[in-house]
Amino acid sequence: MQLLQIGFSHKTAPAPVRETLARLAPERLLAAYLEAGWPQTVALSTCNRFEVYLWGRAAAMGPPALSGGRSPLLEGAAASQSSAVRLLERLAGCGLEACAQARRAEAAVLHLFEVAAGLDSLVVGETEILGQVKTAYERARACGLTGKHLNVLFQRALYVGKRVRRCTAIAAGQTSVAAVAVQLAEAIFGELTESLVLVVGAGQVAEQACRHFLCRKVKGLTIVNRTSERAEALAASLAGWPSVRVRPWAGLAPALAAADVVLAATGAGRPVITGELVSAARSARSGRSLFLIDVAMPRDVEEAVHGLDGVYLYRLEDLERIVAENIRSRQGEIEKARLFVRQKAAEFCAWADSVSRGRERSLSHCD
Amino acid sequence: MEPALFLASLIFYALAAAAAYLYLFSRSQRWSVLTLHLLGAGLALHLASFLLRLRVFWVFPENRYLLPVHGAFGALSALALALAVTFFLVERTRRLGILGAFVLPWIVLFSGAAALAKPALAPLPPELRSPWMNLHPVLLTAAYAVFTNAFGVGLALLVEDRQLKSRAPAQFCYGLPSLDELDRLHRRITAAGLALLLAGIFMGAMWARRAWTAPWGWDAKLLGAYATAAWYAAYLYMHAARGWRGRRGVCLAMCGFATLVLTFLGGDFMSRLHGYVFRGG
Repeated sequence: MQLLQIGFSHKTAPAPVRETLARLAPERLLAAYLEAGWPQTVALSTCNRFEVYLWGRAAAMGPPALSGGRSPLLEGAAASQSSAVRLLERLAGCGLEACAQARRAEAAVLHLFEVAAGLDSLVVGETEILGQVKTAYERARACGLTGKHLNVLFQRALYVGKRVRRCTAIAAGQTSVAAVAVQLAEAIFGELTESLVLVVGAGQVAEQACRHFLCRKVKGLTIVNRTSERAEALAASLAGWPSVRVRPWAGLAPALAAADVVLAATGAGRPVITGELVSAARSARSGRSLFLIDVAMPRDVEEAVHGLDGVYLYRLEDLERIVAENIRSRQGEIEKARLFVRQKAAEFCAWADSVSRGRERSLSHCD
Repeated sequence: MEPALFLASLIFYALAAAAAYLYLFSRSQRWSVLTLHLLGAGLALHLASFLLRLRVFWVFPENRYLLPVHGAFGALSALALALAVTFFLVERTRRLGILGAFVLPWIVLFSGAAALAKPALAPLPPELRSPWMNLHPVLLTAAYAVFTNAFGVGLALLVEDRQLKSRAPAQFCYGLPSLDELDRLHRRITAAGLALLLAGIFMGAMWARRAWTAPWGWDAKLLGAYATAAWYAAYLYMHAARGWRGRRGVCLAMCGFATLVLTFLGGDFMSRLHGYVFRGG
């Protein structure tokens, strides 16, 4: 099989190298490889990886040489890999050979399928990579740089990626506290674009929470803090967002009545959101649900409010427990996904061999 | 042919209910899709059997243009059909997935009960040969079906609420519509059901004015229907005026559903004038 993959991932290449490679114009890169004698090329660029898939030069066959020792018998293959990396070095204007990783034939197919399935991602199972693989493939196809082999390879990779996510729970559950908090809020209110968020506190955690919720395009965000100056300073640091406002500490009760999601992160040392305060707010809310997130230690919100109808209080340890459970559940699914990916990679390799022998086997997506 | 089609539809409904339960416990989307396909097949077979039954029913000139929805088989089969149609429509537009586990067993129950009953094949009694009688049972059957769907949505809301209160929600929770959306959907479906119920009662009153010479009678089924309407009206009022959203509102509406089931089944034995389901009155 004449497939060669040169990769720079978060595991092998430092961020500045990946940034330099990510800045390369894909069309220019593809054209350069075509000129260098690679008739089929796909370049995949994401924040965590930069990879080039090349097909078509016989010299690409053989075991990898960049990361291992060179055999005199395989000088041709090594030269082919080195030339592929040198071309990248020329375009990027920096040395790359030390952090490049090469894979060939079955290993390259297996790697691409693992990438598409999210098995090689920082957050295993993340779905964004599938779209990025698709974009990379479509861009190369639009440039006329994918022939039969790379077309089938990438279409197969997309199929494997979708199938793994559909048939395993590899992508189930969020794996960060902030994402779990947003997911819970969405389970109560749906899209957060119509929800009002109240942040009680103005420290570092409060600032992170503000940014996280503003990224979800919430309808409005109110900051209430015991020290108004700090609340004003936090609002000023969020000046780019139009829907941020500050209310004085005395305005906590009306702000609570208006809000849908409340994040409490003060250093008060005693509950500042009491059962009475929430009960009073509920009567002014026409039965709307209220989601409270208490990330303060000692607690900012009295535990009793969770017993109120339509009020949901989650503390930091609740969110952390959900994250831990999600990660544990994903781990269990990884082996299942790897097995499926290996099976599909072997099927593709058998198909590629059958094509090279002139007796093409059928490769259906419906199995 | 017609009984075979009806039996086949019952089998598909049962398979759809089984797939809905598998979806509930496995969280795999494929079971949800399979549920809808199996239900669609069951619905098509049920409709075909209903049309064949209509052809046989209309052999009697007295029955022409009237619907075969009287008697145990007619009433239960029509109820299962209406339920399958409304569920299919709700599921197609909202894809709640989880709703199937709460609604489809009712379809299987009503279809199964209908399959045990013997279809009545005779000219309708003269007093039932009225256009009001065509609308009265059809509207009420549709109302029952809509309320059963509301019950399913309400149950989904209660399950999700309980999961969120547990602070360790299961994964399927995130696949459900949000609590707010379920609450809105529950209110809308209930409002539609109440409109159908009131219209059905009105049609019955119009018929009764001619058949019984009075639109009103002290009948268990009638009282049950009014009690059902009262529960649902109370729910809609409390939801709008007192903010009884979520769990509290759904519990109130479920009292209405319990009354409805009692009215449909219990009322049949206690009613002098409406014992058509099991007593063939």
